[in-house]
Amino acid sequence: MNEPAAIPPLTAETPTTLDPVRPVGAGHMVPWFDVWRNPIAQRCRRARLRGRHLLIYGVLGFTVIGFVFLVTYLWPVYQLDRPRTDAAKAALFPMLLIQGVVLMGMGTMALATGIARERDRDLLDYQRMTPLSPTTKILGYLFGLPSREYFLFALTVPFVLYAAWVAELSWLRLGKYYAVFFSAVCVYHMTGLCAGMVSRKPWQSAVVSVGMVVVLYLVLPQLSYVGLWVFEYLTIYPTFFTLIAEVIQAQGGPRFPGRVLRMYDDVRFFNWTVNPLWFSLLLQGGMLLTLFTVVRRKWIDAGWHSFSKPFGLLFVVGVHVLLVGTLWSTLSEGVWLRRVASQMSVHAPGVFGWLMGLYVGVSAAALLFVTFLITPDRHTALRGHRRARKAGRSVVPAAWDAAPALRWVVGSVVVVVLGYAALIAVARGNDRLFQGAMEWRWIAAPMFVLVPTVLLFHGLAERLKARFVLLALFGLWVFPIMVGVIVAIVSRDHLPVLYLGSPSPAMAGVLSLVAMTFHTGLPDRPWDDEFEREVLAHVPAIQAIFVVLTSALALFVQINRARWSRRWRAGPENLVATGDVPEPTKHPNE
Amino acid sequence: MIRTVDVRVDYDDVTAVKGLSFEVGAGEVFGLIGPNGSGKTSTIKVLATLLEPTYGEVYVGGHDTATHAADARAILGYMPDLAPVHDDLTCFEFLDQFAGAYGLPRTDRRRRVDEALDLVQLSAKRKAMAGTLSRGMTQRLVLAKTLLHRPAVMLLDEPASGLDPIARIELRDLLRRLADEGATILVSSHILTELSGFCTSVGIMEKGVMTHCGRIEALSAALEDHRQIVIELLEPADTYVNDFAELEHVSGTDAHGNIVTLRFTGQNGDAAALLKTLVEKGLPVCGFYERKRGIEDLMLKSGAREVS
Repeated sequence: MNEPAAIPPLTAETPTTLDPVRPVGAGHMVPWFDVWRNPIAQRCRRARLRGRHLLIYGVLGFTVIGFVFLVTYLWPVYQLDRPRTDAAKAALFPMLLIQGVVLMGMGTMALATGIARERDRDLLDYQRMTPLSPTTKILGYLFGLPSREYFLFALTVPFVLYAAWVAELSWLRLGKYYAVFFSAVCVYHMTGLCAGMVSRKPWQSAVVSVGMVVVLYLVLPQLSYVGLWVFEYLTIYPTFFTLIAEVIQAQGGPRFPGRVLRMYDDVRFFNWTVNPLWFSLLLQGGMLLTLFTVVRRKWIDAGWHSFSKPFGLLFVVGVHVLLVGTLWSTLSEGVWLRRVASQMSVHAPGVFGWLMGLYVGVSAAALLFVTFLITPDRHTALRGHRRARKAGRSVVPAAWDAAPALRWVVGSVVVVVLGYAALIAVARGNDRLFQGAMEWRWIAAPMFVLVPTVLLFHGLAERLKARFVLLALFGLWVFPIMVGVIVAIVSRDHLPVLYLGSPSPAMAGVLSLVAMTFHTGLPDRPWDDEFEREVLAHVPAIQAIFVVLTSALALFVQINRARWSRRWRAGPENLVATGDVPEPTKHPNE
Repeated sequence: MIRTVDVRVDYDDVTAVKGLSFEVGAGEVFGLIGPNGSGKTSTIKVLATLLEPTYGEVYVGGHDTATHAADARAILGYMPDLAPVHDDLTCFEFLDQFAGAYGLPRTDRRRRVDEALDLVQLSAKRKAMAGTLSRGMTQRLVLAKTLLHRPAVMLLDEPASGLDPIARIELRDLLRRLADEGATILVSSHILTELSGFCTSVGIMEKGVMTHCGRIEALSAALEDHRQIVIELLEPADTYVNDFAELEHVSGTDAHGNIVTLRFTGQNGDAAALLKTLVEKGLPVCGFYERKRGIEDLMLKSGAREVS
């Protein structure tokens, strides 16, 4: 083994070749759209696609992919005496599957772990310091980190092209499929990048990345089977089943359940019919924009909130346009009911309750999520107050991260209530769905549960540290139900669960939806007296307990929060005196 | 080239930097010194536009970093503490990516990277993987990255940490030459010998506050009310202590072996007169000089704690 070359020491005679100090490079920046010459993408390609990598991955990948292709292509030809066109269709499906696994699965993981590793080692700071635009840097990582996966994808392309040629698959159809495929890949990869940027530790990024991918692209699409079909268009499934599966099945390829194929015939959004291809691109574009916004903000400053306040409101509006548009067609025309009619054997009013429950559940999740993202914690708020005072402002500007989020949360709540009202109005116009009396107090009940819940959450999030918020919400929303369950077991009575759990929005919300379904939707009384006596009769009282208790707490927390802000505006010394701000300086050395 | 006005940095309950205002002129080498946890790294991160201060104004090369961060970054070179590198790249590739990121023309990139490698004496490691370099070589590589785009302002956070004594001297010489060429350098350290004889001005930080700031001579004068004159004798100094105490401008003596150290309050002319007096009195003087104070003395005088 050779000795490493000696490094000559620096001496006074070492020639300095620096020109007079001056910045260089202006006018030679790579434009953001030139991904190939992007320095970050180039660096990633160099690191991940060295000759030895190409050799190992090339040989192994090509062999495995070739083996799978040949087996699936040659088996029908030589064992089943099928024509080559049918065999090619059979071979196409596994190739597309491999492409999905490589780019969507492995590529997403490569992005999440790669970016988290760079961030953890402070290597991102080097890139933050360069004068490239944030967009250029994000695109560099987006297309650079999964370069090995793109190489593996490239190995499958000859097989796909050959199979499509032999199978006489329309090139236009294949092109449309890949348009959505790459759009979905970008969304998945941006998800990985986002997970890597928001996670605190590299190992967390892998978990968060997998969690985000599973939730966004596996769990949420499952909601299509219970009414929220819109989320399925975040994935490649609708495009695959619309453009590819039907054709290759019809011409002798693998068989797919007819029900699945029928699901993607058209997209009814509000009362419009939208091409599934364009709907997929639209939805994935929205998702991409959201994730890009998060990554860009985190790139500019890791301490910024993931969403700005205006974007948070915009996000809530976007989610609710999708929600209302999806449920609108079902409530007005029963589109979704026709699709899954064989799956459901429930009363139409039950479906109404179920769909409204979906709306309330998804809305609540979106509201709490956005509230969490845009609400400044106590320290961020304090920084904002200090900065605003220094700038001579009496209040923190509303759009700053450090500004109180109340008005934005209230705006989001208004969006949710408007969406809910719109759906109720649509449902009233559908005689087949809504045959019963419209009792407004039952209709409005879920909103009376949702609004104070969100306001309480916001107040706590702005006044307490995250761990104390979690503790407070556990104590208020989960612990009472647990106590109720124990008491109910001991007392052999279910009422303790209902009443002790009444401070929980989960309990009050579910009971409100159940009561709404039974009191407003059904023309007759399909339930027995015992159910009414033992559950429904208690719902008004439980709702009242929840609304009074949660509203009082929300009011208390909001007043406390407002007083704190007012005291600060009156002068920081007031808060110092009460120990409400960390002055005088507490220092690590002390 | 660097100016901060009333900068404050908070991390939750901890105020890392408070009321920081100072200026560094072009071509200066500014030493930011202070104990661990005194706010040096937070200050450098704020200057490097990597950390948004709670409030305060920061100007680099005349650019307000709050509104023109990109312009400031174009003239900044930043070397973090325990500088990391991309382990899976060669030294050349590591530098080449930043040459591209700083917008160096493609035709100049290779030449400039080679220049930078030459400058830090790493040409022999051009094709070596960065992950295989020793700590000292890694520091040199990151320094080469910092120099690549010829920054007008260099921010070096503990650049010599992990380096052996010879490498430290080499680094110091290199930085001194860069300063001679016009670069403004702000270097932080809690190891005072790293900065001695190298910085033109210093800022002393403790508990997030810059307690003293300015040129070393001015700070010395401000912190000291006397000079130290060292006299070497051919005989044991104890026997002459009383003779020294009676001399003009001498407020105290300290004798060890053949050496006497005087607390002297006079000017240069008074020092010359003192030497003349000693010779006329027949004292066996074989050495006479003033002890210059280094950064260590400044820091100790300033009262900063936890000095390495």
